Amino acid sequence: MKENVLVKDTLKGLWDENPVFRQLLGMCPTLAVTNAAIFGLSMGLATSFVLLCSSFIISIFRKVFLHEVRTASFVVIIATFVTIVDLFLKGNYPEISKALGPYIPLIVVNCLILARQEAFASKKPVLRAIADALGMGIGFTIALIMLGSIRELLGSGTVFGFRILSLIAKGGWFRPWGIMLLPAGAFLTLGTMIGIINILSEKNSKNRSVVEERRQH
Amino acid sequence: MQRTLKMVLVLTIIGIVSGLSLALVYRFADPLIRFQQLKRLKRAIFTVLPEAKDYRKEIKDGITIYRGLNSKNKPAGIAFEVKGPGFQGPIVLMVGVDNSLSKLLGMEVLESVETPGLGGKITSKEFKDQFKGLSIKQKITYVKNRNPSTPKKPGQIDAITGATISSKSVVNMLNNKISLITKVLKQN
Repeated sequence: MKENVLVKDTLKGLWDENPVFRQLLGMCPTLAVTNAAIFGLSMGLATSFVLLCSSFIISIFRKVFLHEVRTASFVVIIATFVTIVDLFLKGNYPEISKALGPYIPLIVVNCLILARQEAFASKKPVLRAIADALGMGIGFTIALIMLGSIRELLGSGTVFGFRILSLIAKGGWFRPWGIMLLPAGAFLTLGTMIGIINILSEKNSKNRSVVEERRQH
Repeated sequence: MQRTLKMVLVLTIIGIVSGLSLALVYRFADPLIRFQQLKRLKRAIFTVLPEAKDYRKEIKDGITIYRGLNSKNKPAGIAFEVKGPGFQGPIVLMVGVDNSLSKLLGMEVLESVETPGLGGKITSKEFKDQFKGLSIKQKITYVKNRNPSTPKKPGQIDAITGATISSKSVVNMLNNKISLITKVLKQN
């Protein structure tokens, strides 16, 4: 039963409560850095690391934080881990750190992280908080990779830097959709994807209710 | 009152712990970051001066230049940093020119916070390669949406689609610094 709860906590972040597509949390990095798949991946992993560490610490010390100053406490803890990630990337992956520029320090204000602390980690035992952070982190990363891949494919004709569509300028047929690399492209892609996912999950829940009805009869 | 004190206490403790752990992490990260910066500087100098095997740092009139030396210890061009405002923040370039200051040997981006995927493309090979061998006897210019069949004029580069401001910044800061460097070096 206990394991079941942990699995559920993890899985809900992937689909039912996907931070990007279902909860619409963390929109700033989602829209800002996803014009190439690799940036989506790096941002997703960096955010997941911060989420995991903060959820862990905050869940352990959840009895210590006073209600009135909990947000301030959470933000300081989150900022600490963000700075660690920033220093780590600068020291070991200067290329990625260079490419993501200011958006790494801005993870501090990613509302996904603060929301999970407020809604989950500060109220639940450590293992469940970790499971939740893991699920949300993976869900966030997958969503960012999907957005990044679509925008990179349509905007530059590549995915993760591999050429998929050959460009007109190089003798192929594909004219890159410049708009996909601009902020407008982020909104268009995100909106379309949320729409598709809403349709899918509506169908899903209808199927489920049909099954349940049959069971009851 | 007691509650207030408790709040102050909790926040103070969190602040101290967080500050201490960051100081600790920084002690490990700082040499790594410095090492990466030096590595990047060296790599940039050797990229923009393809024939250089070694370099010597010189400071003239407050301007730092790196004189490249080839395998026979002969001059292999001059490299220098170029700084200027970009679209979102400063852009820092490393630029190599030949000994006679007539053409560029290469350009490398050291720092930039341009929009990833748009202005960020100033770091792409396609953009940087345009500066290899570019004549600097006249001012560098840029052209938007050039028809691939029209030949480029001397000293002309293609601007990045959707990032004209970044392309323009690079061209402007190059022009300014090149004329300054030319003046300084010809005086000596």
